[in-house]
Amino acid sequence: MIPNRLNKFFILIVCIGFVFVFSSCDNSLKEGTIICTQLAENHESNSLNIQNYLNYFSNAKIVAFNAEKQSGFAQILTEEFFSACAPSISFDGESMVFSGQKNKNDVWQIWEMNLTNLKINGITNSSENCFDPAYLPNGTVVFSKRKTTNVEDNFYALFTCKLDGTDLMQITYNPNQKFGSSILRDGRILTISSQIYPENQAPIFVVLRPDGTKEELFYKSEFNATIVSSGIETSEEKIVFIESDSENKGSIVSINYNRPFHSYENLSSGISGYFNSVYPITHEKFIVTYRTSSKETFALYEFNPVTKLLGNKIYKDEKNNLVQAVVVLKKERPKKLPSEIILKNETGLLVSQNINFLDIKDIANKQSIAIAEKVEIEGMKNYREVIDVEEDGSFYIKVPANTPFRIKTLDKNGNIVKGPSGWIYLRPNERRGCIGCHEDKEQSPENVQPLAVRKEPISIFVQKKENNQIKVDF
Amino acid sequence: MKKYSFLMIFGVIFIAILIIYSPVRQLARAHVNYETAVKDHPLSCTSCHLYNQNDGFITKFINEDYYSPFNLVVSKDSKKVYVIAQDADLLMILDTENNRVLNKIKVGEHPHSVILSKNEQFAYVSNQWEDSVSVIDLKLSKELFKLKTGNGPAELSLSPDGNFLYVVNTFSSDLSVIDLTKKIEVKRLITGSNPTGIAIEPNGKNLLVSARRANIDNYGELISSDITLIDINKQSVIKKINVKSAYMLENIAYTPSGDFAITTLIRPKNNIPSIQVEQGWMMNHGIGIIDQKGEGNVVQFLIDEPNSFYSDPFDIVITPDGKKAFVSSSGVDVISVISIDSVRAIISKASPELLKKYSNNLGISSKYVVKRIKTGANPKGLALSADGKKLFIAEQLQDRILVINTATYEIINSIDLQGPKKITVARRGRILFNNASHTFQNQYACYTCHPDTHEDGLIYNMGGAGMGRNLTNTMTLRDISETGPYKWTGTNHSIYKQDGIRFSTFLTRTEAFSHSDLDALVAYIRTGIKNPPNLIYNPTGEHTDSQLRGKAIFERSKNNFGTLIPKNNRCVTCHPAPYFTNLKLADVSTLGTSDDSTLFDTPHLINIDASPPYLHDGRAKTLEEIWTVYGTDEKHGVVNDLSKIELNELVDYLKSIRAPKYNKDDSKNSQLTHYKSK
Repeated sequence: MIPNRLNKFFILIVCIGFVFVFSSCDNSLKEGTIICTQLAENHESNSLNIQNYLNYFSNAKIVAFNAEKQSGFAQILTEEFFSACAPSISFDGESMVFSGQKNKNDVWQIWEMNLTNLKINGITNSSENCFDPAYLPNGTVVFSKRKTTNVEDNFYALFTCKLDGTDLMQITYNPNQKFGSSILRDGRILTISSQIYPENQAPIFVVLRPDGTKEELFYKSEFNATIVSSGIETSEEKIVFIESDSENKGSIVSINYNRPFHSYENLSSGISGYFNSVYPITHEKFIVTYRTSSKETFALYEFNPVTKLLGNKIYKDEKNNLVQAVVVLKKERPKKLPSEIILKNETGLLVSQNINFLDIKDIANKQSIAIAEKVEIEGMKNYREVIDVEEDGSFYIKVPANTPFRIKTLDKNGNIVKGPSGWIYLRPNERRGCIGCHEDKEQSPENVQPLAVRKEPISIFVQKKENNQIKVDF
Repeated sequence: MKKYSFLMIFGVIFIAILIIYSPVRQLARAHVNYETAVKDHPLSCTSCHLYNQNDGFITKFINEDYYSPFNLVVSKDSKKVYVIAQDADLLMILDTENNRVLNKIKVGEHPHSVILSKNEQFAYVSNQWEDSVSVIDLKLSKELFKLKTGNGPAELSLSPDGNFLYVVNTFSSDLSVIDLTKKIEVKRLITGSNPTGIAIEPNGKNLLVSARRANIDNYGELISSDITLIDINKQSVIKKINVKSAYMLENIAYTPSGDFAITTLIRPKNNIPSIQVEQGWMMNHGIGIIDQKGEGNVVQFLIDEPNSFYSDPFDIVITPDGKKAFVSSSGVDVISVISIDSVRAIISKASPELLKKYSNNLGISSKYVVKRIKTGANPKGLALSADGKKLFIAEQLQDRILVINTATYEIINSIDLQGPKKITVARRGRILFNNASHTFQNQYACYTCHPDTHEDGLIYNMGGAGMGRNLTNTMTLRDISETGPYKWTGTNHSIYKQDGIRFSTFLTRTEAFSHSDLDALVAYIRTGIKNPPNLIYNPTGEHTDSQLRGKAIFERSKNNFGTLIPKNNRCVTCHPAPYFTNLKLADVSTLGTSDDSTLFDTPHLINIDASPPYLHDGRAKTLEEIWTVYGTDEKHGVVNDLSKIELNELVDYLKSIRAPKYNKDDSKNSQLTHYKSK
């Protein structure tokens, strides 16, 4: 009996030994692990601000922390890279995409890391910098990529591709910098957009479908603040992000998905100091990167959005800033949106219900606005066409796909009534509608058939291109 | 022995290879690919050949009989709830203190609503598919007798003195006034189209009846629906209140002070090309407030939000203090709580122009919707306790009654009707059909355009080939199982294809149904959707003389001058019984200038009277107009030789056509067998 018991004890010890040995070899990043970008303390401060994204991060590392242990141990995940940043976790919590450059003068590419074995695969092989990747629910990634066709085209557009880098497709075409994309649960891409041509404008949040269609304004600061981080949707249908005021003081802001324009809430107004990134875990726990003053480095903290108080300090490195924090979590997969685009179709259609549409503010303020009778459709490089609108103020146009244009409304003498609008583009075969010019984004259309759609659409730029009368550089 | 084992293994492998690569499997794969119009649907025979069967021995085993609570009423002491179990033809009496079913009383076919007499001795239950009201003695728990009503009785109300019962007749679009002392209908008042809701003014002078279908007009005209104001003493219609840009006014309620009546409604966007869902371009949902102080103006407010929609508002109840209204949004399983004081404040401050603008504003709901309460599947009828402290919700597809505290909005009780625990494939399909989560931002469910699995009477511009082109009259889903192909153009040979990837790309504009969901949806559409009996025009199967003469015209081979009518131009050729379609495409000279060149599918004619307007683009407002206005070239049947009386007789016959299941000699009908074999 005794030898038998000893045998069993011996076997148990061996088993425990095996478990210990193999578990210590387990490199996988467990659920709850915090991953962020680590930057040297003396890194130029303006690169911590998305307004100056073009400088991007130099000599940055992606590091991981076990939030439960709070051991102070930062595991560097991108040793083989000169610089890496912008980690984004897959919906199943098993992999991560990020942007990185292997060597100092390399082009920034998009990479994917398996969080179980920490193996890294390249996704893009681009001759232009690629930044800020995010997983799309259909197994592709969206990211920002520099486009340098012309001087006025020198901006970061959004692109998508498969995880093996194939099927690369540009999906945004207006001259706006697009950065910091994330995916909403409804399947659309939420991205920071900033017009750069002909003049710079403040960053705003726009949403668009993964094929680039139906791009529209989602949020614009009413306080002249600047959006400085990606917007992340919480399980309570809120979008949280960091907004920076004129003193570069970042605050945690929350807006409701259901009503983003009028649900602004500054969650950190009672806290002095600077926030740089926010990542929601539960309805009462966010992971934030924060510093008390500009003399400090950004450190990892917990934040309670219900009490609006900072929680535990998770990790602070006196020599390095910690920014762009994300957490390894399984999340509900967003909807896979179908695509209406047909690439062989070279045009898109746009209908506007009434260019003289008055919104609630106009009526409440009893503003009388001049009646517009024409619209001018202006392409880049000063190509423009003027068309008459119908009696009901509607117009219906066919424009070349993937070509930015903007619209002004004109009175009968050709004087500008409103405009120009922001840059619009249509994807191949896209059909879009708008209620009017500078419409209230909370207004749905009146159930009236626009007179303009009782006729064929007016071709803008298309005919000229087809007849080769004018060579338009689209 | 070894050799035997080797042969056994070889045999198993051989059979496996045969199964995997055999021509039978390849044929099955091709068949499934064809039916589903995709290449990756699982090779499962049961999807179609088991769950889609309407009858037979096995179908009884795989399906269940659910209760499906639809409407309800609460006793004054809140100890009992009386629930309409629509699928079981029952009035269920529930004990709210012990959460149990006290009694089940058999009522008529497809009951709709229930009310109690003042002394709570009697319950009145409208039997929508039987044109009657069951009068039930609650002490005896027994149906005493039935009162005859108009066609399709729905909501009910008692006169203040309790002597008259008002019954809203949905199918015949009128109101029956029943003298309860004489037990007979004494008056029939015309209402708006397809009415359901009724509310009596707190002072007992007037009542309002809300209509669901919009008044029929040409495509492009502003749609409108009617609320009918009726003088109770005179038992006559005072006026019709026109509610512009809205339809599906399902239910209506007065505030206790009587200053407002509030109706649920939908504001469709059918006149706008269906090119996007974003920003409320397809369907908006809200309430209409009929101001009783002035001239009865109707102010409309949405309950939607800019990025979130609360589809298919069904019932509305108002607390006794007049502070809150509760609206059930059946398509999103939510009850919206509305502050009536906030609504009053907005109305009092805003100009008429601004109020008109508010009716399309998706953001303003944040000023008066104070709470969204999540419920189980498909909340329909609502009832408040007498003190207004408890809200009872009939969760139609959950077989459950939910009880909410109206102060804290917390769930305080849920009463299980003890229906089947198993959710069958078809039941899951029904839940999907009624739920808007398969549309971008929950803007509409299948139910929205197909209320009661029928059609909403609207014409849409689907914007497929180009905006303003190819107008589409919504088609009924009743009895379509055997009448493919689908769509007016007949381009979809199966319901799988109809509701597949193109459906999500151009209509729901969100993730397509999974294979499993699509299996369930198809199973429901093919097995669970039936036409009501045609009690107006053909209650017994015996045709009137006029209908018989119309039938002869329908089936004739020679015109009135004795000239032979070409076979392909006879009514009966393209519209043969039992479904009155030959399942083929045809040119009946209805191609419009805004249509792409195409032939049109021959629709079935079951209960055709309930589906105006007519033709693919809804251009004919009545059946008569098909020939008197649009079919004069005789490509859609030969009618020019007919007198006005003969045309009326033909129309009379068409209106008498009913679903095959109501015909006694179905089993002998060889054409039906032919359909089933297809």
